[in-house]
Amino acid sequence: MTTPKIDELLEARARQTPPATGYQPTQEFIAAFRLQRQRRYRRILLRRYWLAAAAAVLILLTWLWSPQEPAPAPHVETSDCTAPSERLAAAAQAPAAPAGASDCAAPSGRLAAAERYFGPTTGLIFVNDELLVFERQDEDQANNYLVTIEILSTGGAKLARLEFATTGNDYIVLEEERIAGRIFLVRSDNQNAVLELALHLSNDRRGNIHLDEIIALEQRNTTLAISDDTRLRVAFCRRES
Amino acid sequence: MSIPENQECRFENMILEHLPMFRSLSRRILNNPVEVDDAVQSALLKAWQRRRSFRGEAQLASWVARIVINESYDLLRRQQKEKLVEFTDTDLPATESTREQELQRLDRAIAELPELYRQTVHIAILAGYDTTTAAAMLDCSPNTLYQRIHKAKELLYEALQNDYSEN
Repeated sequence: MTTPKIDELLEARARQTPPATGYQPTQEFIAAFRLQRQRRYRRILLRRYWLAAAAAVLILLTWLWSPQEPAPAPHVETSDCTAPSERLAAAAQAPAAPAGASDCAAPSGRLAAAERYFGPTTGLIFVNDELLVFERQDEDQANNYLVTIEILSTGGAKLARLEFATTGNDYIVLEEERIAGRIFLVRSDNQNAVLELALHLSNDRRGNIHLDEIIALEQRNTTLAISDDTRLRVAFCRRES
Repeated sequence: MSIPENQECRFENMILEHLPMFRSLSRRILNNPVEVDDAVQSALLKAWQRRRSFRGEAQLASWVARIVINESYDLLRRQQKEKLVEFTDTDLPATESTREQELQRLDRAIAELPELYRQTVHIAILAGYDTTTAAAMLDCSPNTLYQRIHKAKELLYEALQNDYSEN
């Protein structure tokens, strides 16, 4: 098997045009889509009502059993990405991972705190000390992996730090003043993943830094030289619990 | 017309415009037109559920196209799991031509690629879109697309080499 052979096979496969017959008529297809959309909407609504009711019962029970202690804030699942700014601030105040702690088997205190606040359906990323939310690609799967991306100078000074929990498949768009671009993570198996970074950093001292990298994450910690004076360190690992 | 109705209308117009493309992408993975429609429906529902994260109409269709590919593979994997009880997928009928066997091996290798490269193969190679269109659909620059195609072919080469050495 040679590379030209791959090209030949791909060409042969591309030439086999799939037949365009046997499908549902377009209007019926659209009608079926509308019906399924309505059904799903009703299911989501019903689930939210149940969750709200369960949360209310929990609050009531907690209040009845321990009136001297303040009731814990209930967690209500929401699919809305925008969250109250107080939550963001409270979660951001929790302690960050210690400097140089790139081994990420356990989430930092602030990420764990943010996950407790927002629940499992919201994607959360710390960009330096700022907490941002993003839309998760696999809402129905657990965030079993932790990712830390550090952009460092050759002297070891931290230029940017990103930290998030993921299923291993996520697409994150950043539109911050100091850091903008895309993070695209695709898991290939239980241990490995491919990370695509297209990021633009504005640093007061170093000016603009542009990253356009595709990295195969085949070990827990990967360090790459981006330029003569910039390094990229990525920690990707399965979380402990 | 209220904002939600307007959104629904725009989304349905997008379906009307791009449905043949979605079906064509899925049909390269699934053989049965009923299954193709199921996969496309499922992809559209997912896209509708997460539509807030997308702004441009053109981006939306490209994004849905990528979801269609993923959903089609998910459906294919579910079917293969069910069929595994009856026979393993490496058992190719003896009557099939060598070329057909090679193409089936290629299909399996494509199915095993990481999502990013699988989508690249389907959109940039098999569906025959030009570089600019394929890059826009995959939300990357033409240069990045070339890198991905190169890497995808490398991965396919390795997978097929392994497949041949095992059989």
